[in-house]
Amino acid sequence: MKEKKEVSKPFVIVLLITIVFLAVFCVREYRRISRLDLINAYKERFAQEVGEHRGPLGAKDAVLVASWMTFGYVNMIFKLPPEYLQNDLAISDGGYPNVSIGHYAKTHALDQKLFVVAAQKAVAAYFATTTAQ
Amino acid sequence: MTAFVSTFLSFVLLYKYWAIALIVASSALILPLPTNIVIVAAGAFASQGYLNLTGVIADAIIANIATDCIVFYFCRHYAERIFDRWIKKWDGKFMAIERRLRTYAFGTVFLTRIAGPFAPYVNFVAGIIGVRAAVFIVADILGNALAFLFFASAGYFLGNYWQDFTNDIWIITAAVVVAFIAYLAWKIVRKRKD
Repeated sequence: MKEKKEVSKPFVIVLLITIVFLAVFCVREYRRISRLDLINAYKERFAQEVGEHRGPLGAKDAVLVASWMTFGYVNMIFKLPPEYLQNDLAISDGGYPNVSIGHYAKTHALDQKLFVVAAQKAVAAYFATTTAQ
Repeated sequence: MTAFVSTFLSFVLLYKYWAIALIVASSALILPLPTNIVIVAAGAFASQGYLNLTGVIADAIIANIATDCIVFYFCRHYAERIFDRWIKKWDGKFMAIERRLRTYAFGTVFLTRIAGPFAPYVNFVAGIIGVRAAVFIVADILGNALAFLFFASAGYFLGNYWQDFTNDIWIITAAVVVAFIAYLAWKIVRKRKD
């Protein structure tokens, strides 16, 4: 059977005083930074950064295209027309768009790195064309 | 991105929730797969609208808990009969984790859900030494929920640029594993001194 450890009274009193002191300190600090509008500024900055990370991808993001991505995924994240990459890269595979870029290059004896670069260029070209129009 | 991780990412893009469930379950069973990276990536795919964040988290949690519980149940009822010879041969070699499991079952199961690579081994030992099923299941649910919630949410907030942080994910995972090993080693050293 476990023995119950007795907690000393002075320890409890010191602990309570510390908690009260910290609570008062936190409330005062919160009011101070609220007056300076720091919280709202940080909220806005955070929302902006999250928004940038989750916003639609554009021409500058074409470098993100990687060999593990499927054509369908690339179409989806860049909002490309479904047949755009198929036509631009002359893809004849019946599995399109549910095939990864790397796997397609491998099965069609293409240089994987060069094919990924070609896909990146195709994506960038799409945005260049649509912007020009 | 290594070719090893890339293969799993393509797999997730092609088979979505089934792939996540399979990777998580295989990892929970024994295979050392990059589950954390896959879950962060799945969170990022969810932020792009390719997957659903709640679906990713629920899928991973359910797959992991189901596998953990199956292993635990199997070891509790059948392991001693099937692996009798090996268990006797190994007896005493896994005492550190066994002693911890007997004394702090909840904490050990909970912590090893977060320090991934140890989880399958702890499931196995917990089943053999007869940790209470309720304790194992509650710790398993809480630990897995916390780990998957953290990694999937991280991927969701990193969004399109999650790939820039893959090294950090490896570092976080390695730090947790090293901290867990150091904690175990410290416990063993202290016990020996006593």
